[in-house]
Amino acid sequence: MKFSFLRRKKNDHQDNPPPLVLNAQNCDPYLSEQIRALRARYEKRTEALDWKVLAVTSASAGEGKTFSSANLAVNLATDGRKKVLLMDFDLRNSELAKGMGISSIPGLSEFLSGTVQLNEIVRNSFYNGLYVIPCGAKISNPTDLFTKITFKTFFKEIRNQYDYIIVDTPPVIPVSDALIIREHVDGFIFVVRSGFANYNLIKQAVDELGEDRILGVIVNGVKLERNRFYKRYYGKYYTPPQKNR
Amino acid sequence: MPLRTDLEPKEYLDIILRRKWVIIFSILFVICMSLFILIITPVMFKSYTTVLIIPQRVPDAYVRSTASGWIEDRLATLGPLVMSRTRLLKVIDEYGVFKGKQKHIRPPEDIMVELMRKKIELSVDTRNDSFTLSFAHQDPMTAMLVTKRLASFFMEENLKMRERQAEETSEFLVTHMKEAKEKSEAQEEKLRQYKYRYLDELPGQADVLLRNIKGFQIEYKNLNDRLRLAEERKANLEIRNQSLNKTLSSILADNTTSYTSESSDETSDMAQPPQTLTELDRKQARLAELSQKYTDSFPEIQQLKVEIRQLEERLHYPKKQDSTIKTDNRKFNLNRFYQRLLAPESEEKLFVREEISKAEKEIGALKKELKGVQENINKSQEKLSNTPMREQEYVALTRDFENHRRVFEELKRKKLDLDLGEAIEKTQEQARFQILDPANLPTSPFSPDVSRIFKFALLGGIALGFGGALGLEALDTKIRGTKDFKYYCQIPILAILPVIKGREYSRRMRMNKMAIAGGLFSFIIAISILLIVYSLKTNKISLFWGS
Repeated sequence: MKFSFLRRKKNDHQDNPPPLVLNAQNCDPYLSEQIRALRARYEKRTEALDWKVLAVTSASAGEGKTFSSANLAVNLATDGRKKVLLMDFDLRNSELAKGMGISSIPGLSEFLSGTVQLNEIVRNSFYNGLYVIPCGAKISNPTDLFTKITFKTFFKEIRNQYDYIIVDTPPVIPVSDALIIREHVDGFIFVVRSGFANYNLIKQAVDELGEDRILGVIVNGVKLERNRFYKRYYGKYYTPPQKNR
Repeated sequence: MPLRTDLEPKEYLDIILRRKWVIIFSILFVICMSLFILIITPVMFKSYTTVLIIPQRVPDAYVRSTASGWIEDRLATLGPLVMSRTRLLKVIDEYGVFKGKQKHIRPPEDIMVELMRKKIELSVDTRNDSFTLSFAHQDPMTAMLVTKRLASFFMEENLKMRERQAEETSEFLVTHMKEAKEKSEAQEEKLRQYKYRYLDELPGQADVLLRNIKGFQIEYKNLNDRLRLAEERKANLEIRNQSLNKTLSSILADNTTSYTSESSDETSDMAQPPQTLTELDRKQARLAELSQKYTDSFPEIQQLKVEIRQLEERLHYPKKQDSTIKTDNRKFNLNRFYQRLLAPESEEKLFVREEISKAEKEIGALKKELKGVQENINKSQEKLSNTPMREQEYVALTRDFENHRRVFEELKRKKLDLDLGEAIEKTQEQARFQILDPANLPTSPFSPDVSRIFKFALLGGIALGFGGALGLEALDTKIRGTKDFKYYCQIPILAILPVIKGREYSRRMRMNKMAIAGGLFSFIIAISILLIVYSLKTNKISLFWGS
């Protein structure tokens, strides 16, 4: 998804909700319901497995990882009871900072480089309880940063400070970044986009991550207009969203 | 990734709807291709003519048709004659069948003839005894004229063939009839000669032969009995003769001395009569002895008979004796002495000897007759034993003769039928060809068949479209929907997020629509152009023809 973030003000704190996050008032009620369901299942399963740090990834780019991780993090935080950290781990090509309405610099890449401290990169977001670590300056080959001792201690440092840590990672197949943090996160949420994701790539990605390390799958981009169930229940109870152009 | 095995009908519909443009564009593509084919395919017109075979008016039961074979056989013979290279080339040149725009270029003759044969169609309707001839050409008038000409060829060849067939059949029959007649006559002659030669041994003569044999056997028996009696009688006579000789000898012995004293110079002659008589007796005794054992043909018996006869002549026939011996009065007197002396016994002896002679003659005759009868019996028996063989030979000869005769009669009958058939042929009462429907001038092309092509194009397009859609779907490795994901992966689903129809989505949809619209527009333009070209082509032909 491309968003015209260029006209937005680059500051930590915004008056308007970030564009990446769903607006409950004028979005598809089914979509917001599914996000809430995602949150509920997430809480239940992570509690059962005692997982705190989860990476959101996919087989290939453009499947909705950033959107899913942002909205999940927002939904977890808006509960008011939990402290949630949303981290952008895609140091090569990320849109999370823009989507969340914050500046990407300084971010994780600066922290891992050692130029800034951790507290400098953790930002408040529009939502109470949700904190965001942007990716920082984009790096074409961030593998070197991952070998530093800073990176290894980073996850240990932040683990105890937050209730939920959502890590938005690059796709598994094109780059190996997601595999690098495999040992630092508790598990993965796999995002699959219907009509877009390649089965072979998905299988390869799942094999590389390890099926037992995947909390669950978010199936994105499903067309529901012809779904009788949807029409019967959601069409009846919810008014269709106004179109925003 | 192959299609899931648990696809629901709704999902198939989803596939079709998702690939609808593949289907639609496939159909449009095939329609374009078919239009293109219609444009490039030359328009052909076909002219038809139907020929009826009218059967002969005189029923076959009265006069058999001279030409054999029914419609299929006849057409099988006429077809090659009409489609011969010479005739077709004649038609090609006469009507300019292959005259193209480049008139100076003439295709090779072999190719022209082959093309011509392919354009001619012949279909038989056995139910109505007719056949339909058709010819296709780009020019309808040429098609009609050529069809008409070919039909006339069929009719001409049919008449010629019938005449030729009747002539050949007649010649054949005459030749074979002559042969059969010669064979029949030769066999008849053979049979006649056989009958003449083996008349007694033919079948039916066996009873006659048996009766003859029986008769000859009876006759043989009778003769044999007579022979036996004659021999007995002869034996008795010879015994009597011996006894008479003994008596004579004793009389002679008693009277010889008295005579010799009277005439001493006759001593030498005296000795003769007793010696002659003694010798005669001895010889007669010997003859009687041998006769008991041997037949008259025994050499010694014959010798004895001659000697006895000579001795008797010397004794009883002085004349004869005088003719052979020098006449001597004394001898003559001596003989007469002995004759007076032996007169009574001599008379009996003479009688006995005559009887013996008769008996011998009778015996000889009977033996001869017996021999003849035995020969007859043997001949008859031989004939009787040959009768089965002669019967077989006779039957074989008779059978051969009858066969040849039968063949000759059959051929003669066929020749009569043929002559009658030829007579009727001349009055045109026989089966002939008649044009039922003359060659028509086609007004609409028969090729290409537009509706058929479009039907096939539509079906082909649909098949290609649906097949392509399913094929693409099978080759597509994308996951579509949660069911696909659940089928291939067993990871739990946390959430199902619908499509967010934001700006990007709308833009993409717009792009898709524009692409589809562009494709549709292109196809519509292409189809329109092709339709216009095709219309011009067909209109051009019809305008030309109308003029």
